Amino acid sequence: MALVDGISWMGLAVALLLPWLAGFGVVRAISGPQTSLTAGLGLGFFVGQIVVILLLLAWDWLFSGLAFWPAAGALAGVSAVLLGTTFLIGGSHRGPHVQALSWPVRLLILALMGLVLWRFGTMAQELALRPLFAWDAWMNWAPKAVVWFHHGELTAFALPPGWLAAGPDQEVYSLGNRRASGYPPGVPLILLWAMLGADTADHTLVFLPWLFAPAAFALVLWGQLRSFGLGPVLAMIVVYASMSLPLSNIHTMLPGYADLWLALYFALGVMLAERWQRLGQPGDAAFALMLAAGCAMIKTPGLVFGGLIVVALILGRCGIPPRWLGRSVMVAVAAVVLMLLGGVMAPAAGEHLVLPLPGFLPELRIQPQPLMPILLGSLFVSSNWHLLWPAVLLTAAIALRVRGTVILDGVGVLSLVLATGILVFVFGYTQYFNEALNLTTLNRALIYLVPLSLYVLGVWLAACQKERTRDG
Amino acid sequence: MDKVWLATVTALAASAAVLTAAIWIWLPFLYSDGTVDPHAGPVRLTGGTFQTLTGNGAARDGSAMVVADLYDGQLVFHSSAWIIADAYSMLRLDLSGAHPDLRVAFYWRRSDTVGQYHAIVLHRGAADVTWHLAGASPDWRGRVVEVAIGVFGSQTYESIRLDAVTFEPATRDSFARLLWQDWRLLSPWTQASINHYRGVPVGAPLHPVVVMTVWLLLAGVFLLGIARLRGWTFSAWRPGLVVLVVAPWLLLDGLWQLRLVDQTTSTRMQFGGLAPALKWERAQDGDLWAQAQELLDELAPARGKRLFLVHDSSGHEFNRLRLQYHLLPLNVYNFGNDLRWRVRAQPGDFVLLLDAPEAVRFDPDSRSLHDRHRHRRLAAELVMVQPRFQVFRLKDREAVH
Repeated sequence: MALVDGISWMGLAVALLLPWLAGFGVVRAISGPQTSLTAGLGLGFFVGQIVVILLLLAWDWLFSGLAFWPAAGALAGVSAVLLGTTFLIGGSHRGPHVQALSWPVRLLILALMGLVLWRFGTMAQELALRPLFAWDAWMNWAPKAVVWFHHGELTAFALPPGWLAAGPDQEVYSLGNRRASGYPPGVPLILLWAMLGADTADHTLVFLPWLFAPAAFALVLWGQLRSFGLGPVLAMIVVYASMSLPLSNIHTMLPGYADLWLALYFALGVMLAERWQRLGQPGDAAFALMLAAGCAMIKTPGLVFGGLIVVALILGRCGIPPRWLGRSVMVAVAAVVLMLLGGVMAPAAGEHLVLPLPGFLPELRIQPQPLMPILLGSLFVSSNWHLLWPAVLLTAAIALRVRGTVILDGVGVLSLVLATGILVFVFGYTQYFNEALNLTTLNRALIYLVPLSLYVLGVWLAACQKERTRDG
Repeated sequence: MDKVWLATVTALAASAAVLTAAIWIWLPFLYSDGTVDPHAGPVRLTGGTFQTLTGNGAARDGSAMVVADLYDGQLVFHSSAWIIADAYSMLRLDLSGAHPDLRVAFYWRRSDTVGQYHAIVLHRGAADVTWHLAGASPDWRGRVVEVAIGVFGSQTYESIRLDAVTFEPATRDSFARLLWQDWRLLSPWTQASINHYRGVPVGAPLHPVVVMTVWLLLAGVFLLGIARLRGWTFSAWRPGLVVLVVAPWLLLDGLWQLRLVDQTTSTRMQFGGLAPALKWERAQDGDLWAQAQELLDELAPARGKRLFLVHDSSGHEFNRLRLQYHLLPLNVYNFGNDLRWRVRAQPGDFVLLLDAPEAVRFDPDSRSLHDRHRHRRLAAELVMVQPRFQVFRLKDREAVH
């Protein structure tokens, strides 16, 4: 069977499953039985990837080289200790009281699960069959992993001037995209770990983490929404929605980009910050911080989105009355709308303000641009997101009518609106408007909002359902 | 509660009926100037009436023409014809075996234009039978005396079979088929696929997301009307709204899933059952990959060696960037289209000239690389020649100017 030729199956299986197990162990050790099994398993996957990134960085620093099996052994040892401790302490999660489900409801849930599995299988086929295809994947992210795999160490990458200036005794590499050598190492390290396990740098299956990531997020989404009291059918509908979105699916099937990871880390970080606001468990804050760091390790814009998670953590527990969070949401929504209108109505100006950014980040040339029609086209006309955005607006309108502005009183909604505002600023008020105009980057950036939007939508549905239960 | 579900289904069905009727009436305005062609019997040219201009292994199979393979990336079927273009705006193509990655075009020549051919590109996805609006081209008029179908691309995986080309009047039926094709046909992956999923071909007049949103809103209005008539409270009929969102979502997702099934079928045909190296051979730039492997074998072990890649491009160019990837783990400096970096070059470094860049040439007499004006020179020796590139090794430092 050609798919298995030239690959260490045992190593690949260990590379894929061991971090997941270790991450699950960390989740159980820190949050104990407060987190449901599904949410713990899902969150464990993402924590495991962060553990892998840190492990490879630390291993290379300590031993001046990489060795898969010893590192995997260390990881297995830590996992065994964590899971063993958790087992000894005992305790089990008590989820919401589940009434016996009627047969029609069970069938409905099974049908939706069937659709999710069908999509998962389709995506798996495409991922396994097609050699590395997506542009940035082979230009920016995979090359570092390939070089590190062949060298058995984290060889330095430099920007082009640094490469030219390097002496004959210095080994530095440079990527074909001028700035990419300075990008964070998270994605190449996730890929490198799978390559080391599979013992090859050239196999489609080393991209399997791109398939598992949305599935793991679906597990967290299910667990979180059920813990909010959302009924199983509605929770399953939201999970199905999360697995059905075309552009997200494409980022799994043509793997190697960083955007999906950043979107999922950002959403999970905010979800845990909100959980900390609600339940006050310090473990949730710890994971939110870990995920904020994960955002920064994945992609340069992750510095901003990781920062938003930290802001959510601070706002959620600094004693601000919840209604002020809701008012902040209203102000932020009004600001986003005004920014969009301002971009359309502002006269074309010849001059622009230059905003320098630190490090190798490019300066921003500030100028209002007509982003709104492009954005509306991407959200409500193109097929990127099925009916997600009409559904979000409709759910918001219904939840506002049913529950009033109390549905805005959370850091989840606030983070979503702030992130939207940042994207509107970047694409509507800087030179990045050109990348919205030619549709190269806008939708990839909108992915950052999608998982969090699904979560917020689910929370609003839960709020409406509670009201209905109270009524009825 | 059952009454609410019944009302929801009624609202969905009624709004779907209204919407379908509206689109049916509107179809000629969507795809044309609002008119349909007068009734006329179709003109059918069977595959057997065509001849092949290029293509390998052509043979007639009953009324069809079958070709085993492309010739130099091309296959052209052509036939004489006698068609009053204004009466037949619609073209039906029965073509099978052409992989979705291949481009297909329809050509024609009019009686009033000698030696001038006109063309439209045909979007056919993975379907064997497709309809196309030839009448959308301003050149589709007068008497058409010659027609041709061209198939272009790098690889075929099975024989290509032309069963028929049929010319039909444009009617509401055929416009409806066009709308269905816009929504249904596969658009194979391109390098832009990762950025945006339009859902319809460029220029399609009606997007499925817009139609489904209108359906959702219309159904909401119907449901609201029923609820008002029955005197239901909002909380009583609110669950119906979930169904109003889920139903069109499922339809959209069904369209997406059908396309994905076509895509995976197409991908399996291209890469199924192959080891990684063989997959690369079948990729879009398989030739470049194979030549890169030759170079890697020549330079093995790659570690410690540096290579300057020169190509006539600035910015991100597919071939130069892909070659850099295929050459990993070789250390490649992949910028510029001249020798400006020469002062940083070391003896023993390699220089690769991809696709014969204009600004850099090798002079065999002086055994040096030089730029267009011969201002910058580098002593070098030829190491390897491949169809797409040449590779040189820089000589000792004294010889580097």
